[in-house]
Amino acid sequence: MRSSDAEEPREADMAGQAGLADALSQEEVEALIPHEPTWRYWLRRIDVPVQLFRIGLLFLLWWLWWSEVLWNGWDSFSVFGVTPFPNVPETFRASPYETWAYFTEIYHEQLFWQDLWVTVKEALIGFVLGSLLGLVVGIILGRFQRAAKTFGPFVVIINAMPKIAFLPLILIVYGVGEMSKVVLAVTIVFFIVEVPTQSAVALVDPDLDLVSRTMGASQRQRFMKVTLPGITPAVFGALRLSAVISVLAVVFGEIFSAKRGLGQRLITAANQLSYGDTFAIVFILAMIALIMNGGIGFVERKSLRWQTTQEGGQVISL
Amino acid sequence: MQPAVELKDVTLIFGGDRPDDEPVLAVQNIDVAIPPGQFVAVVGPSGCGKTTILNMLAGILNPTRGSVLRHGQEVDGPSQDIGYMLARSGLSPWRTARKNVELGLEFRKVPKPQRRKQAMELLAKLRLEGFADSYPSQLSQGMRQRVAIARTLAISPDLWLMDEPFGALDAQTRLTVQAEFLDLWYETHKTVIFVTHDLEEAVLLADRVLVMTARPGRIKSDTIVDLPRPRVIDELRFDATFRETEHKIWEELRGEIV
Repeated sequence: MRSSDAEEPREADMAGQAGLADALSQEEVEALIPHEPTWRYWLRRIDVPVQLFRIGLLFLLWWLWWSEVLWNGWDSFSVFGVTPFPNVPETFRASPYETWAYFTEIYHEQLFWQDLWVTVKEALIGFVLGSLLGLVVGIILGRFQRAAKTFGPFVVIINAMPKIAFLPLILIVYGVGEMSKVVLAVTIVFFIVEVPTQSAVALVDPDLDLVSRTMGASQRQRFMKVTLPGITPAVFGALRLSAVISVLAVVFGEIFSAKRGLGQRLITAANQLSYGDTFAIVFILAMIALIMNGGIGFVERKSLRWQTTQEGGQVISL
Repeated sequence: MQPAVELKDVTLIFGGDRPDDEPVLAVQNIDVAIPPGQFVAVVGPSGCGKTTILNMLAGILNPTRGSVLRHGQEVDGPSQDIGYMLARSGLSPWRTARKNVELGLEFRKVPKPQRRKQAMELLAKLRLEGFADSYPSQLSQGMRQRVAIARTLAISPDLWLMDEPFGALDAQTRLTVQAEFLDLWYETHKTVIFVTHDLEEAVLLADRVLVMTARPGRIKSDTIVDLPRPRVIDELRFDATFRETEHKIWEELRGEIV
Protein backbone atom coordinates (compact mmCIF):
# COMPACT_ATOMS: atom_id res chain seq x y z
CA MET A 1 0.00 0.00 0.00
CA ARG A 2 2.89 2.34 0.73
CA SER A 3 4.96 0.99 -2.10
CA SER A 4 3.91 3.61 -4.64
CA ASP A 5 4.88 6.49 -2.31
CA ALA A 6 8.12 4.86 -1.34
CA GLU A 7 9.24 3.95 -4.81
CA GLU A 8 9.08 7.42 -6.28
CA PRO A 9 11.58 9.31 -4.13
CA ARG A 10 14.04 6.46 -4.41
CA GLU A 11 14.16 6.83 -8.19
CA ALA A 12 14.64 10.54 -7.77
CA ASP A 13 17.54 9.85 -5.41
CA MET A 14 19.42 8.01 -8.04
CA ALA A 15 19.02 10.89 -10.43
CA GLY A 16 20.47 13.40 -8.01
CA GLN A 17 19.84 15.30 -4.79
CA ALA A 18 16.57 16.82 -6.01
CA GLY A 19 14.08 14.37 -4.55
CA LEU A 20 15.93 13.42 -1.32
CA ALA A 21 13.31 12.66 1.33
CA ASP A 22 13.69 14.17 4.80
CA ALA A 23 14.91 11.77 7.45
CA LEU A 24 12.04 10.23 9.40
CA SER A 25 11.29 11.85 12.73
CA GLN A 26 11.47 9.85 15.93
CA GLU A 27 7.64 9.68 16.07
CA GLU A 28 7.44 8.38 12.52
CA VAL A 29 10.08 5.77 13.29
CA GLU A 30 8.18 4.65 16.37
CA ALA A 31 4.96 4.47 14.36
CA LEU A 32 6.64 2.05 11.97
CA ILE A 33 7.42 -0.41 14.76
CA PRO A 34 4.36 -2.38 15.88
CA HIS A 35 4.25 -2.03 19.65
CA GLU A 36 3.97 -5.18 21.67
CA PRO A 37 1.51 -4.97 24.58
CA THR A 38 3.25 -4.94 27.96
CA TRP A 39 1.60 -8.19 29.10
CA ARG A 40 2.78 -9.99 25.98
CA TYR A 41 6.30 -8.64 26.43
CA TRP A 42 6.44 -10.00 29.97
CA LEU A 43 4.97 -13.29 28.90
CA ARG A 44 7.73 -13.58 26.33
CA ARG A 45 10.37 -12.58 28.87
CA ILE A 46 9.17 -15.20 31.32
CA ASP A 47 9.16 -17.76 28.49
CA VAL A 48 6.11 -19.78 29.48
CA PRO A 49 7.05 -23.07 27.76
CA VAL A 50 10.37 -23.21 29.61
CA GLN A 51 8.69 -22.45 32.94
CA LEU A 52 5.98 -25.07 32.36
CA PHE A 53 8.55 -27.66 31.40
CA ARG A 54 10.58 -26.90 34.50
CA ILE A 55 7.59 -27.28 36.78
CA GLY A 56 6.63 -30.46 34.97
CA LEU A 57 10.12 -31.84 35.48
CA LEU A 58 9.99 -31.00 39.16
CA PHE A 59 6.67 -32.83 39.47
CA LEU A 60 8.03 -35.81 37.61
CA LEU A 61 10.97 -36.10 40.00
CA TRP A 62 8.66 -35.67 42.95
CA TRP A 63 6.30 -38.33 41.59
CA LEU A 64 9.16 -40.78 40.98
CA TRP A 65 10.11 -40.43 44.64
CA TRP A 66 6.60 -40.28 46.07
CA SER A 67 5.16 -43.19 44.12
CA GLU A 68 8.25 -45.31 44.81
CA VAL A 69 8.65 -45.98 41.10
CA LEU A 70 12.21 -44.87 41.62
CA TRP A 71 12.81 -47.60 44.21
CA ASN A 72 10.90 -50.33 42.40
CA GLY A 73 13.47 -50.12 39.67
CA TRP A 74 13.41 -52.06 36.45
CA ASP A 75 14.98 -55.43 37.17
CA SER A 76 14.07 -56.94 33.82
CA PHE A 77 16.17 -54.33 32.02
CA SER A 78 19.77 -55.43 31.79
CA VAL A 79 22.64 -54.69 29.48
CA PHE A 80 25.48 -57.22 29.27
CA GLY A 81 24.34 -58.70 32.56
CA VAL A 82 24.34 -55.33 34.32
CA THR A 83 21.08 -54.04 35.77
CA PRO A 84 21.32 -50.24 35.82
CA PHE A 85 17.98 -49.73 37.62
CA PRO A 86 17.80 -52.39 40.33
CA ASN A 87 14.95 -52.80 42.78
CA VAL A 88 15.72 -51.26 46.17
CA PRO A 89 14.51 -53.45 49.12
CA GLU A 90 11.76 -51.95 51.28
CA THR A 91 14.06 -51.41 54.30
CA PHE A 92 16.41 -49.15 52.39
CA ARG A 93 13.76 -46.90 50.90
CA ALA A 94 13.59 -43.28 52.01
CA SER A 95 10.09 -41.90 51.67
CA PRO A 96 9.23 -38.20 51.52
CA TYR A 97 7.36 -38.63 54.84
CA GLU A 98 10.46 -39.91 56.61
CA THR A 99 12.58 -37.19 55.09
CA TRP A 100 10.15 -34.51 56.19
CA ALA A 101 9.83 -36.12 59.63
CA TYR A 102 13.58 -35.76 60.08
CA PHE A 103 13.40 -32.07 59.24
CA THR A 104 10.71 -31.45 61.87
CA GLU A 105 12.66 -33.51 64.37
CA ILE A 106 16.05 -31.82 64.00
CA TYR A 107 14.55 -28.36 63.99
CA HIS A 108 14.20 -28.58 67.77
CA GLU A 109 17.38 -30.50 68.33
CA GLN A 110 20.26 -28.38 69.52
CA LEU A 111 22.88 -30.95 68.57
CA PHE A 112 21.80 -30.72 64.94
CA TRP A 113 22.45 -26.99 64.83
CA GLN A 114 25.86 -27.60 66.36
CA ASP A 115 26.63 -30.20 63.68
CA LEU A 116 25.45 -27.83 60.97
CA TRP A 117 27.63 -25.07 62.33
CA VAL A 118 30.70 -27.33 62.47
CA THR A 119 30.30 -28.30 58.82
CA VAL A 120 29.57 -24.75 57.65
CA LYS A 121 32.51 -23.41 59.59
CA GLU A 122 34.91 -26.03 58.21
CA ALA A 123 33.71 -25.48 54.66
CA LEU A 124 33.91 -21.69 54.89
CA ILE A 125 37.37 -21.65 56.43
CA GLY A 126 38.60 -24.24 53.94
CA PHE A 127 37.11 -22.26 51.07
CA VAL A 128 38.51 -18.91 52.15
CA LEU A 129 42.00 -20.15 53.05
CA GLY A 130 42.34 -22.45 50.04
CA SER A 131 41.09 -19.81 47.60
CA LEU A 132 43.30 -17.09 49.03
CA LEU A 133 46.39 -19.28 48.91
CA GLY A 134 45.52 -20.43 45.39
CA LEU A 135 44.96 -16.86 44.27
CA VAL A 136 48.23 -15.55 45.71
CA VAL A 137 50.35 -18.46 44.45
CA GLY A 138 48.59 -18.37 41.05
CA ILE A 139 49.33 -14.67 40.64
CA ILE A 140 52.98 -15.08 41.68
CA LEU A 141 53.59 -18.05 39.39
CA GLY A 142 51.72 -16.34 36.54
CA ARG A 143 53.72 -13.17 36.88
CA PHE A 144 57.22 -14.41 37.53
CA GLN A 145 58.46 -16.86 34.95
CA ARG A 146 61.38 -18.02 37.05
CA ALA A 147 59.10 -18.78 39.98
CA ALA A 148 56.82 -20.72 37.63
CA LYS A 149 59.78 -22.68 36.30
CA THR A 150 61.03 -23.46 39.78
CA PHE A 151 57.76 -24.41 41.45
CA GLY A 152 55.64 -25.36 38.43
CA PRO A 153 56.66 -29.05 38.29
CA PHE A 154 55.90 -29.51 41.99
CA VAL A 155 52.47 -27.94 41.59
CA VAL A 156 51.73 -30.24 38.64
CA ILE A 157 52.86 -33.38 40.48
CA ILE A 158 50.98 -32.61 43.69
CA ASN A 159 47.91 -31.60 41.70
CA ALA A 160 48.03 -34.96 39.93
CA MET A 161 47.71 -36.80 43.26
CA PRO A 162 44.16 -37.53 44.40
CA LYS A 163 44.10 -35.29 47.47
CA ILE A 164 41.42 -37.46 49.09
CA ALA A 165 44.07 -40.16 49.40
CA PHE A 166 45.91 -37.97 51.89
CA LEU A 167 42.97 -38.08 54.29
CA PRO A 168 44.26 -40.93 56.51
CA LEU A 169 47.58 -39.09 56.85
CA ILE A 170 45.84 -35.78 57.54
CA LEU A 171 43.74 -37.43 60.24
CA ILE A 172 46.87 -38.77 61.93
CA VAL A 173 48.62 -35.42 61.81
CA TYR A 174 45.71 -33.09 62.60
CA GLY A 175 43.46 -35.39 64.60
CA VAL A 176 39.79 -36.24 64.03
CA GLY A 177 38.61 -32.75 64.98
CA GLU A 178 37.65 -29.86 62.72
CA MET A 179 41.21 -29.00 61.75
CA SER A 180 41.71 -32.10 59.60
CA LYS A 181 38.58 -31.31 57.50
CA VAL A 182 39.76 -27.75 56.95
CA VAL A 183 43.18 -29.00 55.84
CA LEU A 184 41.61 -31.45 53.38
CA ALA A 185 39.38 -28.72 51.93
CA VAL A 186 42.32 -26.30 51.66
CA THR A 187 44.51 -28.79 49.77
CA ILE A 188 41.74 -29.46 47.25
CA VAL A 189 40.44 -25.89 46.84
CA PHE A 190 43.97 -24.51 46.49
CA PHE A 191 44.54 -26.22 43.15
CA ILE A 192 41.09 -25.42 41.82
CA VAL A 193 41.90 -21.73 42.20
CA GLU A 194 45.66 -21.77 41.59
CA VAL A 195 45.66 -23.39 38.14
CA PRO A 196 43.13 -21.11 36.38
CA THR A 197 44.52 -18.01 38.12
CA GLN A 198 48.03 -18.72 36.90
CA SER A 199 46.95 -19.19 33.31
CA ALA A 200 44.68 -16.13 33.45
CA VAL A 201 47.59 -13.93 34.55
CA ALA A 202 49.62 -15.13 31.58
CA LEU A 203 46.73 -14.33 29.23
CA VAL A 204 46.13 -10.72 30.27
CA ASP A 205 45.94 -8.54 27.14
CA PRO A 206 49.55 -7.65 26.22
CA ASP A 207 48.40 -4.51 24.35
CA LEU A 208 46.86 -3.18 27.51
CA ASP A 209 50.04 -3.83 29.43
CA LEU A 210 52.13 -2.17 26.71
CA VAL A 211 49.91 0.91 26.74
CA SER A 212 50.21 1.11 30.53
CA ARG A 213 53.99 0.76 30.37
CA THR A 214 54.35 3.54 27.83
CA MET A 215 52.18 5.76 30.02
CA GLY A 216 54.75 5.28 32.76
CA ALA A 217 52.67 3.10 35.07
CA SER A 218 54.56 1.64 38.03
CA GLN A 219 54.71 -2.13 38.62
CA ARG A 220 52.12 -1.75 41.34
CA GLN A 221 49.80 0.30 39.14
CA ARG A 222 50.09 -2.18 36.29
CA PHE A 223 49.19 -4.97 38.66
CA MET A 224 46.24 -3.15 40.23
CA LYS A 225 44.78 -1.67 37.04
CA VAL A 226 45.64 -4.25 34.38
CA THR A 227 46.42 -7.69 35.82
CA LEU A 228 43.93 -7.84 38.67
CA PRO A 229 40.83 -6.75 36.73
CA GLY A 230 42.00 -8.88 33.80
CA ILE A 231 41.97 -12.12 35.77
CA THR A 232 38.75 -11.42 37.69
CA PRO A 233 36.36 -13.38 35.41
CA ALA A 234 38.53 -16.50 35.51
CA VAL A 235 38.98 -16.22 39.28
CA PHE A 236 35.24 -16.00 39.92
CA GLY A 237 34.66 -19.09 37.79
CA ALA A 238 37.16 -20.96 39.93
CA LEU A 239 35.68 -19.61 43.17
CA ARG A 240 32.19 -20.85 42.28
CA LEU A 241 33.56 -24.31 41.71
CA SER A 242 35.70 -24.28 44.84
CA ALA A 243 32.73 -23.31 47.05
CA VAL A 244 30.89 -26.49 46.10
CA ILE A 245 34.06 -28.58 46.29
CA SER A 246 34.95 -27.30 49.77
CA VAL A 247 31.59 -28.58 51.08
CA LEU A 248 32.25 -31.88 49.32
CA ALA A 249 35.72 -32.22 50.83
CA VAL A 250 34.57 -31.40 54.35
CA VAL A 251 31.64 -33.83 54.23
CA PHE A 252 33.86 -36.57 52.85
CA GLY A 253 36.31 -36.01 55.68
CA GLU A 254 33.51 -36.10 58.25
CA ILE A 255 32.06 -39.30 56.84
CA PHE A 256 35.47 -40.88 57.06
CA SER A 257 36.12 -39.90 60.65
CA ALA A 258 34.95 -37.00 62.79
CA LYS A 259 33.63 -36.01 66.17
CA ARG A 260 30.86 -33.75 64.93
CA GLY A 261 29.45 -32.45 61.67
CA LEU A 262 26.75 -33.25 59.13
CA GLY A 263 28.94 -35.86 57.43
CA GLN A 264 29.18 -37.76 60.69
CA ARG A 265 25.42 -37.42 61.14
CA LEU A 266 24.92 -38.72 57.60
CA ILE A 267 27.03 -41.84 58.04
CA THR A 268 25.47 -42.57 61.44
CA ALA A 269 21.98 -42.34 59.93
CA ALA A 270 23.00 -44.55 57.03
CA ASN A 271 24.47 -47.14 59.39
CA GLN A 272 21.17 -47.17 61.27
CA LEU A 273 19.34 -47.68 57.97
CA SER A 274 17.54 -44.34 58.48
CA TYR A 275 17.59 -43.45 54.84
CA GLY A 276 15.01 -40.71 55.21
CA ASP A 277 17.48 -38.94 57.48
CA THR A 278 20.32 -39.26 54.98
CA PHE A 279 18.13 -37.73 52.28
CA ALA A 280 17.30 -34.80 54.52
CA ILE A 281 20.99 -34.23 55.31
CA VAL A 282 21.90 -34.32 51.63
CA PHE A 283 19.29 -31.61 50.99
CA ILE A 284 20.75 -29.50 53.78
CA LEU A 285 24.28 -29.90 52.38
CA ALA A 286 23.05 -28.86 48.96
CA MET A 287 21.52 -25.77 50.54
CA ILE A 288 24.85 -24.84 52.13
CA ALA A 289 26.68 -25.14 48.80
CA LEU A 290 23.93 -23.23 47.01
CA ILE A 291 24.03 -20.37 49.50
CA MET A 292 27.83 -20.10 49.21
CA ASN A 293 27.55 -20.20 45.44
CA GLY A 294 24.82 -17.54 45.51
CA GLY A 295 26.98 -15.30 47.68
CA ILE A 296 29.86 -15.54 45.23
CA GLY A 297 27.48 -14.98 42.31
CA PHE A 298 26.24 -11.80 43.99
CA VAL A 299 29.74 -10.38 44.38
CA GLU A 300 30.57 -11.51 40.85
CA ARG A 301 27.64 -9.68 39.28
CA LYS A 302 28.59 -6.54 41.22
CA SER A 303 32.21 -6.57 40.09
CA LEU A 304 31.71 -7.84 36.54
CA ARG A 305 29.00 -5.50 35.31
CA TRP A 306 31.00 -4.88 32.14
CA GLN A 307 30.70 -8.54 31.21
CA THR A 308 26.92 -8.66 31.41
CA THR A 309 26.71 -5.67 29.10
CA GLN A 310 29.03 -7.51 26.76
CA GLU A 311 26.63 -10.42 26.44
CA GLY A 312 23.29 -8.69 26.59
CA GLY A 313 24.11 -5.23 25.33
CA GLN A 314 23.54 -4.12 21.81
CA VAL A 315 26.45 -2.76 19.83
CA ILE A 316 25.83 0.80 18.77
CA SER A 317 27.57 1.53 15.52
CA LEU A 318 28.16 5.05 14.26
CA MET B 1 66.64 25.09 17.85
CA GLN B 2 67.19 21.86 19.70
CA PRO B 3 65.30 18.96 18.14
CA ALA B 4 62.46 17.48 20.16
CA VAL B 5 63.46 14.04 18.99
CA GLU B 6 66.73 12.90 17.55
CA LEU B 7 67.96 9.51 16.39
CA LYS B 8 71.71 9.46 15.97
CA ASP B 9 73.06 6.66 13.81
CA VAL B 10 70.67 4.20 15.44
CA THR B 11 71.02 0.50 14.69
CA LEU B 12 68.94 -2.20 16.38
CA ILE B 13 69.50 -5.93 16.20
CA PHE B 14 66.98 -8.42 17.60
CA GLY B 15 68.20 -11.65 19.18
CA GLY B 16 71.38 -13.40 18.16
CA ASP B 17 72.71 -13.66 21.71
CA ARG B 18 71.83 -17.34 22.13
CA PRO B 19 74.09 -19.95 20.47
CA ASP B 20 71.51 -21.18 17.93
CA ASP B 21 69.84 -17.83 17.33
CA GLU B 22 70.16 -15.87 14.08
CA PRO B 23 70.38 -12.15 14.83
CA VAL B 24 67.91 -10.01 12.89
CA LEU B 25 68.99 -6.56 11.79
CA ALA B 26 65.81 -4.53 12.24
CA VAL B 27 66.89 -0.95 11.59
CA GLN B 28 70.22 0.41 10.49
CA ASN B 29 71.94 3.81 10.66
CA ILE B 30 68.83 5.83 11.30
CA ASP B 31 69.76 9.47 11.47
CA VAL B 32 66.96 11.94 11.85
CA ALA B 33 66.21 15.07 13.82
CA ILE B 34 62.67 16.28 14.41
CA PRO B 35 62.03 19.86 15.56
CA PRO B 36 59.35 20.48 18.22
CA GLY B 37 55.81 20.65 16.87
CA GLN B 38 56.52 18.81 13.66
CA PHE B 39 54.10 16.17 12.42
CA VAL B 40 56.22 13.42 10.92
CA ALA B 41 54.78 10.40 9.13
CA VAL B 42 56.84 7.27 8.69
CA VAL B 43 55.88 4.97 5.83
CA GLY B 44 57.49 1.79 4.62
CA PRO B 45 56.82 -1.84 3.78
CA SER B 46 55.60 -4.04 6.59
CA GLY B 47 58.31 -5.41 8.81
CA CYS B 48 60.71 -2.58 8.03
CA GLY B 49 61.12 -1.51 11.65
CA LYS B 50 58.66 1.39 11.93
CA THR B 51 57.24 0.11 15.20
CA THR B 52 60.74 -0.63 16.44
CA ILE B 53 61.59 3.05 16.11
CA LEU B 54 58.49 4.03 18.08
CA ASN B 55 59.34 1.50 20.78
CA MET B 56 62.82 2.95 21.11
CA LEU B 57 61.38 6.45 21.46
CA ALA B 58 58.89 5.18 24.03
CA GLY B 59 61.79 3.78 26.02
CA ILE B 60 60.74 0.16 25.90
CA LEU B 61 63.54 -0.91 23.52
CA ASN B 62 67.19 0.12 23.61
CA PRO B 63 69.18 0.67 20.42
CA THR B 64 72.07 -1.73 19.86
CA ARG B 65 74.20 1.14 18.58
CA GLY B 66 73.73 4.88 18.39
CA SER B 67 71.59 7.04 20.60
CA VAL B 68 67.97 8.11 20.92
CA LEU B 69 67.56 11.61 22.29
CA ARG B 70 64.64 13.69 23.45
CA HIS B 71 65.40 17.38 23.90
CA GLY B 72 69.08 16.49 23.85
CA GLN B 73 68.76 13.86 26.57
CA GLU B 74 69.25 10.16 26.15
CA VAL B 75 65.99 8.18 26.42
CA ASP B 76 66.19 5.94 29.46
CA GLY B 77 63.05 3.87 30.04
CA PRO B 78 59.37 4.87 29.66
CA SER B 79 58.51 8.43 30.52
CA GLN B 80 55.24 9.98 31.53
CA ASP B 81 55.05 12.66 28.86
CA ILE B 82 54.69 10.32 25.90
CA GLY B 83 51.38 9.29 24.39
CA TYR B 84 51.59 5.99 22.56
CA MET B 85 48.68 4.73 20.52
CA LEU B 86 48.39 1.32 18.87
CA ALA B 87 46.45 0.02 15.88
CA ARG B 88 44.44 -2.19 18.19
CA SER B 89 42.68 0.09 20.61
CA GLY B 90 43.97 -1.81 23.66
CA LEU B 91 41.12 -0.50 25.81
CA SER B 92 40.28 -2.10 29.16
CA PRO B 93 37.01 -3.99 28.63
CA TRP B 94 36.08 -3.50 32.30
CA ARG B 95 36.33 0.29 32.12
CA THR B 96 33.74 2.59 30.62
CA ALA B 97 34.87 4.95 27.85
CA ARG B 98 35.40 7.72 30.38
CA LYS B 99 37.33 5.51 32.81
CA ASN B 100 39.50 4.33 29.93
CA VAL B 101 40.37 7.91 29.08
CA GLU B 102 41.22 8.48 32.74
CA LEU B 103 43.69 5.58 32.89
CA GLY B 104 46.85 7.59 32.32
CA LEU B 105 45.64 10.31 34.69
CA GLU B 106 45.09 7.66 37.37
CA PHE B 107 48.69 6.51 36.93
CA ARG B 108 49.63 10.13 37.48
CA LYS B 109 47.47 10.31 40.60
CA VAL B 110 45.40 13.23 39.28
CA PRO B 111 42.48 13.85 41.68
CA LYS B 112 39.17 12.31 40.64
CA PRO B 113 37.09 15.43 39.84
CA GLN B 114 39.84 16.84 37.64
CA ARG B 115 40.34 13.48 35.94
CA ARG B 116 36.68 13.29 35.19
CA LYS B 117 36.51 16.81 33.84
CA GLN B 118 39.49 16.35 31.52
CA ALA B 119 38.16 13.04 30.24
CA MET B 120 34.72 14.48 29.51
CA GLU B 121 36.24 17.44 27.65
CA LEU B 122 38.23 15.17 25.40
CA LEU B 123 35.31 12.84 24.80
CA ALA B 124 33.20 15.82 23.84
CA LYS B 125 35.80 16.94 21.31
CA LEU B 126 35.63 13.49 19.76
CA ARG B 127 31.79 13.54 19.76
CA LEU B 128 31.60 10.74 22.32
CA GLU B 129 30.09 12.57 25.29
CA GLY B 130 26.92 10.47 24.98
CA PHE B 131 28.91 7.27 25.29
CA ALA B 132 31.01 8.15 28.34
CA ASP B 133 29.41 5.39 30.38
CA SER B 134 29.46 2.73 27.66
CA TYR B 135 31.84 -0.18 27.83
CA PRO B 136 34.17 -0.84 24.85
CA SER B 137 32.12 -3.89 23.89
CA GLN B 138 29.15 -1.59 23.31
CA LEU B 139 31.05 0.72 20.98
CA SER B 140 31.84 0.45 17.28
CA GLN B 141 35.42 0.04 16.12
CA GLY B 142 35.62 3.71 15.13
CA MET B 143 34.32 4.83 18.51
CA ARG B 144 36.77 2.59 20.34
CA GLN B 145 39.62 4.06 18.37
CA ARG B 146 38.43 7.56 19.25
CA VAL B 147 38.35 6.57 22.92
CA ALA B 148 41.93 5.34 22.48
CA ILE B 149 42.87 8.72 20.98
CA ALA B 150 41.30 10.46 23.95
CA ARG B 151 43.16 8.16 26.34
CA THR B 152 46.47 8.88 24.57
CA LEU B 153 45.94 12.65 24.67
CA ALA B 154 44.41 12.86 28.15
CA ILE B 155 47.83 12.90 29.74
CA SER B 156 48.75 15.95 27.56
CA PRO B 157 51.81 14.22 26.16
CA ASP B 158 54.66 16.24 24.76
CA LEU B 159 55.38 13.60 22.13
CA TRP B 160 52.69 11.63 20.32
CA LEU B 161 53.72 8.23 19.03
CA MET B 162 51.05 6.77 16.77
CA ASP B 163 51.42 3.23 15.46
CA GLU B 164 48.99 2.82 12.56
CA PRO B 165 46.24 4.18 14.79
CA PHE B 166 43.57 4.15 12.09
CA GLY B 167 44.67 1.00 10.29
CA ALA B 168 41.73 -1.05 11.53
CA LEU B 169 39.05 1.44 10.44
CA ASP B 170 36.98 1.37 7.28
CA ALA B 171 37.67 4.09 4.70
CA GLN B 172 34.85 6.49 5.64
CA THR B 173 35.26 6.19 9.40
CA ARG B 174 38.97 6.68 8.95
CA LEU B 175 38.44 9.97 7.17
CA THR B 176 36.24 11.27 10.01
CA VAL B 177 38.59 10.15 12.75
CA GLN B 178 41.62 11.50 10.89
CA ALA B 179 39.97 14.92 10.65
CA GLU B 180 39.11 14.91 14.36
CA PHE B 181 42.62 13.84 15.22
CA LEU B 182 44.13 16.54 13.04
CA ASP B 183 41.99 19.20 14.72
CA LEU B 184 43.11 18.05 18.15
CA TRP B 185 46.71 18.18 17.02
CA TYR B 186 46.32 21.60 15.44
CA GLU B 187 45.16 23.01 18.79
CA THR B 188 48.26 21.81 20.61
CA HIS B 189 50.94 21.47 17.92
CA LYS B 190 52.90 18.79 19.74
CA THR B 191 55.55 16.67 18.07
CA VAL B 192 53.97 13.67 16.34
CA ILE B 193 55.57 10.56 14.91
CA PHE B 194 52.91 8.79 12.96
CA VAL B 195 53.62 5.32 11.58
CA THR B 196 51.34 4.18 8.78
CA HIS B 197 51.32 1.94 5.74
CA ASP B 198 48.84 4.27 4.07
CA LEU B 199 50.69 6.83 1.99
CA GLU B 200 47.60 8.96 1.40
CA GLU B 201 47.09 9.23 5.14
CA ALA B 202 50.73 10.17 5.63
CA VAL B 203 50.61 13.02 3.10
CA LEU B 204 47.20 14.27 4.25
CA LEU B 205 48.24 14.60 7.88
CA ALA B 206 51.97 15.18 8.07
CA ASP B 207 54.42 18.05 7.60
CA ARG B 208 57.12 15.62 6.62
CA VAL B 209 57.13 12.07 5.32
CA LEU B 210 59.97 9.62 5.93
CA VAL B 211 60.09 6.61 3.61
CA MET B 212 61.82 3.57 5.00
CA THR B 213 63.41 0.76 3.05
CA ALA B 214 62.54 -2.91 3.44
CA ARG B 215 64.43 -4.65 6.23
CA PRO B 216 66.93 -3.62 7.42
CA GLY B 217 65.03 -0.39 7.77
CA ARG B 218 66.92 2.70 6.65
CA ILE B 219 65.58 6.09 5.74
CA LYS B 220 65.25 6.22 1.99
CA SER B 221 63.75 9.64 1.51
CA ASP B 222 62.73 12.59 3.60
CA THR B 223 60.08 14.82 2.02
CA ILE B 224 58.49 18.02 3.31
CA VAL B 225 54.76 18.18 2.56
CA ASP B 226 54.16 21.76 1.57
CA LEU B 227 50.43 22.04 2.12
CA PRO B 228 48.81 24.86 4.11
CA ARG B 229 47.22 24.33 7.52
CA PRO B 230 44.65 23.98 8.85
CA ARG B 231 43.85 21.25 6.39
CA VAL B 232 40.43 20.06 5.36
CA ILE B 233 41.39 16.54 4.53
CA ASP B 234 38.28 15.35 2.71
CA GLU B 235 38.82 18.12 0.14
CA LEU B 236 42.59 18.04 0.22
CA ARG B 237 42.48 14.53 -1.17
CA PHE B 238 41.59 15.98 -4.57
CA ASP B 239 44.10 18.85 -4.47
CA ALA B 240 46.73 18.93 -7.23
CA THR B 241 49.72 19.66 -4.97
CA PHE B 242 48.62 16.86 -2.71
CA ARG B 243 48.37 14.40 -5.58
CA GLU B 244 51.78 15.49 -6.86
CA THR B 245 53.44 15.04 -3.47
CA GLU B 246 51.81 11.69 -2.94
CA HIS B 247 52.90 10.56 -6.37
CA LYS B 248 56.46 11.67 -5.80
CA ILE B 249 56.73 9.80 -2.51
CA TRP B 250 55.00 6.79 -4.03
CA GLU B 251 57.82 6.52 -6.56
CA GLU B 252 60.24 6.18 -3.63
CA LEU B 253 58.09 3.72 -1.78
CA ARG B 254 57.22 1.56 -4.76
CA GLY B 255 60.73 0.22 -5.11
CA GLU B 256 60.61 -1.10 -1.55
CA ILE B 257 57.25 -2.77 -1.76
CA VAL B 258 57.66 -4.74 -4.98
